[in-house]
Amino acid sequence: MQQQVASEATADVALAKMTLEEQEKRKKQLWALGLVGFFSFISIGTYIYNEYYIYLSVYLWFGMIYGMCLQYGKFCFSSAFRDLFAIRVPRMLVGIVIATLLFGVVSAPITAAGLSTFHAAPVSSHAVIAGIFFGVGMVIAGGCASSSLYKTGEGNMNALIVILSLSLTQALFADVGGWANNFVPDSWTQSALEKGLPASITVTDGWVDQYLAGYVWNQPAVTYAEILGMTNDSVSGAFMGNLLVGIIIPAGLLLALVYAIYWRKGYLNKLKKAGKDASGIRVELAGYWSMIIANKRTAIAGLILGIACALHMLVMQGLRVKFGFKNAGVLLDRIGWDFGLSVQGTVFDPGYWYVTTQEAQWVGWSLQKMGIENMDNIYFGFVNGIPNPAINPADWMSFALIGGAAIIALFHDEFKFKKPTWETAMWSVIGGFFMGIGARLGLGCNVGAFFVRVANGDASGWLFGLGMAGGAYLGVKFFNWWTERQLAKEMESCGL
Amino acid sequence: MKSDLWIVFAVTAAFLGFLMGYGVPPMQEVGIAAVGGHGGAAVENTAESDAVMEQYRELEKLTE
Repeated sequence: MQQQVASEATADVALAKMTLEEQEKRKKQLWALGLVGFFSFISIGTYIYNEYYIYLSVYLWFGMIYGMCLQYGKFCFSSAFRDLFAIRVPRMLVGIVIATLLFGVVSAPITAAGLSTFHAAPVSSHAVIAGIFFGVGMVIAGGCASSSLYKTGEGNMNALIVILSLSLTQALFADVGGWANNFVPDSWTQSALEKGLPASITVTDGWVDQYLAGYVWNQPAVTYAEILGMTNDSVSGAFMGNLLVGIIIPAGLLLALVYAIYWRKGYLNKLKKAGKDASGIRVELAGYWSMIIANKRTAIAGLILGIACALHMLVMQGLRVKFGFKNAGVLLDRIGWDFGLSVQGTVFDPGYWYVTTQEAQWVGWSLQKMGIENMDNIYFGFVNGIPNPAINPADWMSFALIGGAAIIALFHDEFKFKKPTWETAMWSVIGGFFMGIGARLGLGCNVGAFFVRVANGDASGWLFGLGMAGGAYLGVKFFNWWTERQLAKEMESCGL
Repeated sequence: MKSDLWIVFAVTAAFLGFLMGYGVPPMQEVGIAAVGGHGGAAVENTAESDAVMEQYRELEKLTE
């Protein structure tokens, strides 16, 4: 009798626990649906208020898709390089390269049709140096610029600290002058002065200003199609120049290198253990293919990301034609939000997926509101402006990206509020700092300076990627050294 | 759970469909060649489209 009562009680507890877990899951799903409802309300409400807001809604919905894909595919450049260099696992890196390739395949017809909003960035060694800074930073921070956004959507507060540090660093670095001017070569200052910028831009006061106007702008901004003497908006240029020469061949070679160094040995050993033939070209090709399909989740996310990125450019271009402007600054002016427009009347309006500049603008706007003048530099004052984050087009994309990641995380029960420790917060701040410097030097992050550029045949994309890989390698080496040092200290204190 | 996730996908697809329907036809009306990847023929700017502004726009492209 007693045994029966005890077993019934255990069953009741188990049932109650299960019901509680289910209730918790259900609650999370309702939060996810609530987020979708919120974004729908924003889109419909603002559209009813003023038709022009639909332009911002495009950023919002594509941002949400980017967030959903990133979270689903666990799309993280930092993990990709860290796994490769620290534990010799290439799965994430392969997934990212495949995703870039797929984005390139989808972008090519849009570029060929002349409908792409993409424009190439200046090409020189500065992209490699910027990549090194960025790579070191993302490994130290434990997340790249895009993955920090999706991880914030998963409730990871370390990732939020990374974003804040990255944003603050960019906003301050873009405006730093005074003592920093001593580190500017005279040739940069002279060249910057020759650009004839508006009087409101104090081009000789600011390291980044003189770096941009005195050095970066003097570098050629070309795609592979243009290097080969073709135009971007031609079938041969988009498919042969940008896609084949710019993406497929280098990506194929990179994957072959990764296969030879990190995958081949393990694959052949597996075959030998199974008593199968482990030599010949067929075996090598099968091994290469097994590496490519090893990370299906990232590749699927990459495929959807690629399609979304390409459609995003198409819709943005369509709306620009419909409303008759090239930059959303005109749109904001028309709807009465003229604060924070650049001297040219522009705001940051990339027309495609981008991460870091809108984050710097949040801080730039806040600093301006606190009385710090930062519209006299090229980054904010001449090009991107510092509009109110509530109506900043690209900010809608970043907010929605966090929301999209949260939606998928909530549905898959992967949302968890993670409180930072002092140590992790410190690494997040330091990592964000290095990423911020790298993003400003390279004019973009792992998305804007690598993913989007490589996929669109921009010759600077692989250079930034090369630097990012080198920086990540240094970051991994530094972390190994740090961990071993800490371990040795602990053992010493224990008298071991 | 699965059906709720499909609600998310359906709402997202519906908005995307609307946005594409809203944004793409204007290009078809103008003609792809007229758009030419540079924003269309009838483009308004806040400042005069003189040579200096054209130079500025080129510089702007290099900065993001």
